[in-house]
Amino acid sequence: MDTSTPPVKCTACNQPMRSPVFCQNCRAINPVQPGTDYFAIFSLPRRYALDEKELHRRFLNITREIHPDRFATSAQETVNLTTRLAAQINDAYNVLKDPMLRAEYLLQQAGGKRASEDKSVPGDSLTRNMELREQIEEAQASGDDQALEQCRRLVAEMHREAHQAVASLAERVADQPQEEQLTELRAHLNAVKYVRNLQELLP
Amino acid sequence: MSSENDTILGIDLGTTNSLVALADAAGPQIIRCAPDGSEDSGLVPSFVAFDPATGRITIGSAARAHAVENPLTTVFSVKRLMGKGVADLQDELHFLPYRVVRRHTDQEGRDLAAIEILGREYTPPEISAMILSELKARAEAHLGHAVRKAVITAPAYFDDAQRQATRDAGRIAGLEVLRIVNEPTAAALAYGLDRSENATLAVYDLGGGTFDVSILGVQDGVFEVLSTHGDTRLGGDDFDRCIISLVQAEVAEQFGLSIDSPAIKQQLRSFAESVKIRLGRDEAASLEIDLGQGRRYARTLTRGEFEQMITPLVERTIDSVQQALADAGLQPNQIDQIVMVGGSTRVPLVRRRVAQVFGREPYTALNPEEVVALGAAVQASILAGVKRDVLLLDVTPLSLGIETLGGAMGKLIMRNTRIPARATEMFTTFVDGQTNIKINVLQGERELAQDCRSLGEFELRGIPPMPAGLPKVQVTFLIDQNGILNVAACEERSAKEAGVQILPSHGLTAEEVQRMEEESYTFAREDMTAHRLIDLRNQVTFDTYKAEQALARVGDRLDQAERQNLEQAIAQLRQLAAESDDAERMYEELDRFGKMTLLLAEAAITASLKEGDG
Repeated sequence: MDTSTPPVKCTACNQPMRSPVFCQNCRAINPVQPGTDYFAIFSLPRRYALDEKELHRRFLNITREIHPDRFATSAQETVNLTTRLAAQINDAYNVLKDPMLRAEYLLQQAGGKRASEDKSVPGDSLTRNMELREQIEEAQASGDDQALEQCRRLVAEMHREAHQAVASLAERVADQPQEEQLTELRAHLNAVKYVRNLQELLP
Repeated sequence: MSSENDTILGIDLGTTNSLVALADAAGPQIIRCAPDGSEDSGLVPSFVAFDPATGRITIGSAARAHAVENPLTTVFSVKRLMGKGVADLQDELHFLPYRVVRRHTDQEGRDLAAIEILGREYTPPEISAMILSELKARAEAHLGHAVRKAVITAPAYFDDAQRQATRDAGRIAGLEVLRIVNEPTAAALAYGLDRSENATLAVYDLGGGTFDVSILGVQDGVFEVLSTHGDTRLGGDDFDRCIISLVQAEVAEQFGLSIDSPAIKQQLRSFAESVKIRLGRDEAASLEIDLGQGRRYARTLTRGEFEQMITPLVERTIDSVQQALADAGLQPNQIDQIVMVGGSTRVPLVRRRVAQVFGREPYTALNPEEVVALGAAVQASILAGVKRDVLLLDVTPLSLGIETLGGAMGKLIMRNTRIPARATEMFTTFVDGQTNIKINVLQGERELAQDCRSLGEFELRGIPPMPAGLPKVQVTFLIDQNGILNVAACEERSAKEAGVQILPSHGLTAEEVQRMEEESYTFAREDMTAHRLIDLRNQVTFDTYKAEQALARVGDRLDQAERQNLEQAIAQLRQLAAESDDAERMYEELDRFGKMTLLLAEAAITASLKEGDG
């Protein structure tokens, strides 16, 4: 299946555009309509796996053209338009460059629930999490460095597992989402948050 | 070629010194031309002095020269007061010889510091506007035409109120402020301009009153700020204050004298500054103060002692550096270059500690006092469209949020988010028929609203009356490229744009800025009147002298009455010029005198013709 987005036409010159915001042909700025797909903004396929360097390169290329500093002496309206546009591009970039926010975005786009609506976590992860938290607190209380090191390894392991689970599920959700996968991805994203809380205990 | 319409100045509005720069095809350069056309260093001390007798305003070196003489009417370090209330400045006021008051017009919930001089209150933006006017005048003298636009720099760690105050100062000075640029970012721009390689930079900027550190990635002409941290009340001034406090304490101990009169404060300030500078070169400096009545305070201050005093301050900057590195997700050894900015980076301890933290010597080849203004001029040429291969992407230094139920800080935009940045939030009503909603907008990193900085109360108005909880007001918070917040609100059910009324906690309203701008025009007119008076008086001196000479030479050709008339007119005009400030009347009298002397002039011409004949 072709996951790339169909070419968008420039509102000013009606030529197909490589980027949905900036027309290479007539240099017109096209406002991003609310709900425009973040991947489409950077002309990237809607996939979880993503080359972060390439995303950054595309982000800079678009920003170079549409940043309000390029229009500082234009009419106030243009300055306002490009300011809003740059804020939207920044937002899209921030979401896509962060693997967890990217997975969350794909989940929301596919109609998945928000963290506030579904707080479940997969299988035994809650128990594991609580056990580990106790271990950390004990090790910290007794000042046992060896035990703390062991905790660190376990947390890192959990972190890796959670990320892997999110990655493979998010890839499927991006492709052909099924109800079951949405719930599962929600649970694994919640689990990542729990692991992060554990990491904060271990500076 | 620059013309009146497209010239954009680059201005570094500093705590201690201010500079103005311009960029052209050859690159940016500092304007070293005083308003009277003479050459100087380009460094304008950020001092504004009011003559106690005449109220006449002087700016820069001239103002600093009279600081000790007129401590109550000489304002310096006003940048530390920008966007602040009197309550914020309690530990600061002790060091300021001039009078800082809470503005009389401030209502409950609003606290704006003002400086009281000769019975008038001036807000910090108004004082800063005077410095900006001086810089503008320098640029205009250099260019030979009027300038209306500028880029002004501000510390990266400035909050919204401080940024707005800076922009307001520009407006009051009659400048369209196209951009507020962060000082370390501007410095990076000036540093990296000639270098094509991609690199990661740290800019350590310790000025007179503020400290910033920014971490930047430079890639193909795009300067991308990764993180920033700082302290807007930490700078060289505080190093001076360590010395001042030491001297004050020792004088009190040894002589039972409290030396804190305004004149002494001002004297101590410049004394401490010179001691600090000496200790940058020498291992020790001797201090001596004549306290009168044969009492003499004397001691030697070693560099070691000085460093011990300022260590806690320097360590605060190091904490900021660590925080900025952590926020950028980088280790110190991943930084390719450390750029030192601000006069206070000349202090040896500062350089040593920075070198230790990064494990390498910082880059100090740039003039730390000029690099920010040069960067501002580069940014100006980017905005003018002259320079198209470079772009700055900056971040917001502080998290933005709103006060939620129970007094917590609900963050909407996290610190170090790239700007422009946007967030939306839904609000509704609690009472049937409620037509407005008040939001307390905050900046800061603390959990509780009371520990964060309130930007002010934003009141959403014009919500159509509906049962409680039914309206859906979507509020958009947009931090623009200047780091300044813009708020818009829309009620979704009625699709009605709600008005947003802002009462800034520590800032001026749009109406106040406009009024001050108009007043500054009045000042400018008064200034013009003063100039005009000087011109007219000169004219009187010249015309009456000429008339006297002519009388002496050809007076005998006029009849007695006419001669007496003229002699009387000369005396009267001279008296008027000496005693009156009425420019209009002086102009009219000069005009009348001119007509009266026509006869005399004719006689003189006839005489010279005759002499020529002979």
